[in-house]
Amino acid sequence: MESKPLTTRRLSAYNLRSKPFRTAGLVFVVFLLAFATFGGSLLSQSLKNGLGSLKERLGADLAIVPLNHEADYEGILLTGQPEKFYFDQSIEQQIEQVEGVSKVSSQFFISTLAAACCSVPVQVIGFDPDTDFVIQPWIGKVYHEKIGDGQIIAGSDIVLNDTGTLKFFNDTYKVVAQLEKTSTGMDYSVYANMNTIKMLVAGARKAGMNLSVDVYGTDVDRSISTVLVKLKKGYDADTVTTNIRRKISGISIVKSQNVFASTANNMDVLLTFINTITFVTWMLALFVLAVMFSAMINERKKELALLRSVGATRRKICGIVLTESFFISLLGGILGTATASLIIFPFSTYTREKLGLPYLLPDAAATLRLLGMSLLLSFAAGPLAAAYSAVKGSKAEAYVSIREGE
Amino acid sequence: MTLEVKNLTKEYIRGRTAFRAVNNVSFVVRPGDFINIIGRSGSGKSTLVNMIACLLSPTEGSVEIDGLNITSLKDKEASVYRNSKIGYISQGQSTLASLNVLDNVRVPFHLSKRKGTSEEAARSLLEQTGIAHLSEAFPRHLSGGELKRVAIARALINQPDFVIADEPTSDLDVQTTAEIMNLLKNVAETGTAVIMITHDMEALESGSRTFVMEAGILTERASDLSRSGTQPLRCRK
Repeated sequence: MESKPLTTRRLSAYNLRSKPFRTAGLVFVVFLLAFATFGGSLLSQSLKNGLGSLKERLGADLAIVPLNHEADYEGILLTGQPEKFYFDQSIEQQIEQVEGVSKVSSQFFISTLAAACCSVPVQVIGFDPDTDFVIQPWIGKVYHEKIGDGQIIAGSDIVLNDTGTLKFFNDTYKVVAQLEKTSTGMDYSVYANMNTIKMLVAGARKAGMNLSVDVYGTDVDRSISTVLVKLKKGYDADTVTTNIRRKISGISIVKSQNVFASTANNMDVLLTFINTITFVTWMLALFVLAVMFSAMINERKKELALLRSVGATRRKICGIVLTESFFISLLGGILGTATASLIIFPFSTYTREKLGLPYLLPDAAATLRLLGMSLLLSFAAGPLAAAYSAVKGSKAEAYVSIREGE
Repeated sequence: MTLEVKNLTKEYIRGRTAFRAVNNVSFVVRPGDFINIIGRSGSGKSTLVNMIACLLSPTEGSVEIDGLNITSLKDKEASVYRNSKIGYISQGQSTLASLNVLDNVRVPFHLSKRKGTSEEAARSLLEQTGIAHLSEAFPRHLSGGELKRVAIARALINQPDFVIADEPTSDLDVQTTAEIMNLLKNVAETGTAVIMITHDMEALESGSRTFVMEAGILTERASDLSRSGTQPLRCRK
């Protein structure tokens, strides 16, 4: 079989092959760079998405909860940690009368221990479809009818059975829709109207189950867990909060902007850290690559000069070195982004739990954009780092280099 | 094809003093010439042949091939000239470690645009240089003599008009030196001019003309003048 032409690409490939340890070292540096770039940007984007999703889903300006239950309410919102707290539903009417309040809607929370749906407690959120202004706007994206009695809507992370139903306290409920992922605690919650909540509580009592939520002593018809408040135009949250406090005691008030702001602050610190680490890794990798290529060209002075002596142009020498650096970048870039993908995608739930912050992976199009950008940066890193050495190597006086190599 | 070296000079600065490594050298090389250049280390021999090979720019003077001044060529043209007209054998080990013997010989063929393939010619040259059995071996497995044969085969792959060999027999034993000289002599007999630098006095027997380089000045040995049919070269202005 006739040997293949010795093209620039082939000469570069042969050279990389002849120095496997050096090649592996260079590939590893680009691998780190690609891993940091793709992993960092994906992590950073997921946190931003999570924050955006949280902002979108908060809906109400204020949430009124029983005294000292602010943290529990935030836990339901952010992490889906099931909680129970109740106060008298007459509070809803009192709040409605407060100056600056535009709309009110109450919710009722139940947490179950081991429902058929999940191996962990799940938060059941009851709401009034006639007054609700928080949940229905985003339920409307997946379910266009009014939610009926005995029907429930499941968060994205609730595992449904094959028949599309969920079993609570021996009773089966039809899941009419499953919500899009939000990366907040809402993904672990199920939603139902108040009649369904009453059915659920009755079922629990009938089954005589010792539930994690003590609804035994609670009159479902007279109790609520939270009142969500929409402000009138021209009123700010602080003023209305003061107005509510003046009229009603024994309550705590959660300001949505505070939930968002504190999460955003925590996230800012993390994002700054991630972005700094990514940037530093990138610069460091580029520097290490540049130094390694420079050392490599120095070591190969004679070899490149020999190529010049048999007719290689300066451009050809540059081409050989840059092609080698591109091959290194190609391999390191693909391996780095693939490894970052293998870690970030399958472990996203774990990452989210560990971070304790809203964390929502970008959609396919955005992920592909990040992937493309990361690959492009990784592929460019090698040639960029090698460019100076390549030009220097090609400009060296061949005769002098051959003599120096003796 | 005739190569004419005209008043070639290379000046370096050593410390703060300028000195001429090659001083106003002129001579003519005709097809089939086998030119030996001898002289002490540091006398300027390598500098001279590397200027002829377009690997070093002269300070003054020119090298002309059939009237074309090759020292004024741009990089691309100079590279094409080196690739097609010159077969260069450098001092010491001059193979590419990442390529096997066959590919080492084939490399120059692929550095310029050419039709056809290089393998047949490369194998034929390996046959002529007596190392056909080593075609798949890598340079690290070869002896000094074998490496030199690879360099000679590589220098001939593009059928050059001139072969420039910078001390091709240094570090070789007597028998290998004789074999290498025989190879180069055969090359000259095919009409390719050979310009060789050597310290080996026995190697001089293979040459048709001998030049002596001393402190940058090149002089043709009187005994060779009758053969070359030229006047003794006055190398200093």
